[in-house]
Amino acid sequence: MMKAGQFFGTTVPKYVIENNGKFLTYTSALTFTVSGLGQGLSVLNNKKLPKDDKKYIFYQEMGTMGLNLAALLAFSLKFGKWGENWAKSGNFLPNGVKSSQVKEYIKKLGQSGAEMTKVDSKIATHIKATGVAATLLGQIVALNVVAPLVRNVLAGCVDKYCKHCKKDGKDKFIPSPVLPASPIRNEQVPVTMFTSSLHSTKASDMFNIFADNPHKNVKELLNHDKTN
Amino acid sequence: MVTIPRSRNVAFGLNAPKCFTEKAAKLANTQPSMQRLYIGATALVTQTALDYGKWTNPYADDNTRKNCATRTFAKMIVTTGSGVLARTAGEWLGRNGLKKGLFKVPEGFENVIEKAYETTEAQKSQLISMGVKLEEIADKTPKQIQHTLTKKKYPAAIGAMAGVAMAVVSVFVADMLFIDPITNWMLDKCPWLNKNKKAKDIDNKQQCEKSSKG
Repeated sequence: MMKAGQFFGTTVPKYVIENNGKFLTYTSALTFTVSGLGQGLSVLNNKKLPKDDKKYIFYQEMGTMGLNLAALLAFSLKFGKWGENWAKSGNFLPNGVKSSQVKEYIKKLGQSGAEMTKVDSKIATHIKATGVAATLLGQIVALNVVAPLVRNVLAGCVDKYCKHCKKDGKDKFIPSPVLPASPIRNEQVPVTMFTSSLHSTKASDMFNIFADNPHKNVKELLNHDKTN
Repeated sequence: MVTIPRSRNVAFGLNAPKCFTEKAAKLANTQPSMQRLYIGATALVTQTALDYGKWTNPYADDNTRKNCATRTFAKMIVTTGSGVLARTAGEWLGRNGLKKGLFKVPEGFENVIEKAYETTEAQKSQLISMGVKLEEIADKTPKQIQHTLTKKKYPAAIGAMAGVAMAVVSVFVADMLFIDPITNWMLDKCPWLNKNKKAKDIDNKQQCEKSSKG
């Protein structure tokens, strides 16, 4: 069994030097997971956030955490590999180097004891740098574009699903973040129908309908609204 | 020996900009603090915009979207700041730990360096990218250069590890302690958010009154 001292003193530093791009990816995944947990707890403890927003933001944080992890590992590692292959194939060359020289360098890598020249070291550094740059680009795309877009959609869906489950258990309608809070929604309303019509009807209009017809069947009201 | 025609090189080979090639050694050894800074700086713009946009955050109402965007903005400032600081502190600790005798380079680690940077030229370019002047290493033998690089690289690797370890602790603590006070402060101080909140409160009150009358 490997000792902890050897692991942290030799194995990990060796990995950091040899695979810097992967090290950055894995450590990012670790820190973003811990960060997500911390932020989720801080949302629950925030007393100044409105209750509706708090729930929505909590789901958003948890969604972000999972997505960051998945997106990071998927995009970052793939981008890094693409970057390295792009440079290795001779399609992205160091300044002042020809693609034939890159091909010669790749051949040398397969031969044991081949003498490396100044140009070879330039190519080796270039390949490594392209890999790391592509990894960083992958991380930026994954964390700052893909994950926020998907999490916003996902948080809305999870939030609605949770309300639906709660309604089934307690027969109580929990206010949605799409709608302002109102005591009228403590009535027994079939959530599935209600949420399915959210996109076709504005929240304020829905309230006006319910407020004006408190004793009418919800299905009738929704049909009435659609026909209008 | 098979030579590839020049025209073929031009047709398929895209040359990297000169600045990329010059800074390749530095880029290949990007430290976690710089990586966090790149991600945080871009996130400050993109994530805030995506949370605020109606099309990019379709399930939330106006007020929730504004709250989300404000929170994301505050979050990015705090997390990027704390992340970069923690990583920089860890890297500083790693760089200076060897000098202060906190740890020493393990035996045989020079072989790792030799394997990672095969030529003396590559080792020299690594040293230059780490802030060593060319004059300082011009007269040194390949063995001495390898030794110098090991003494530079090992602390940097330990620093990267220490930085990440400190970041893991700091993100949890700093995010828990500072994100919400800053978010609350921004919600209180931003006039457009207050206006929106008041409008929502009035709307809710009117709805309640209307329903109680009905």
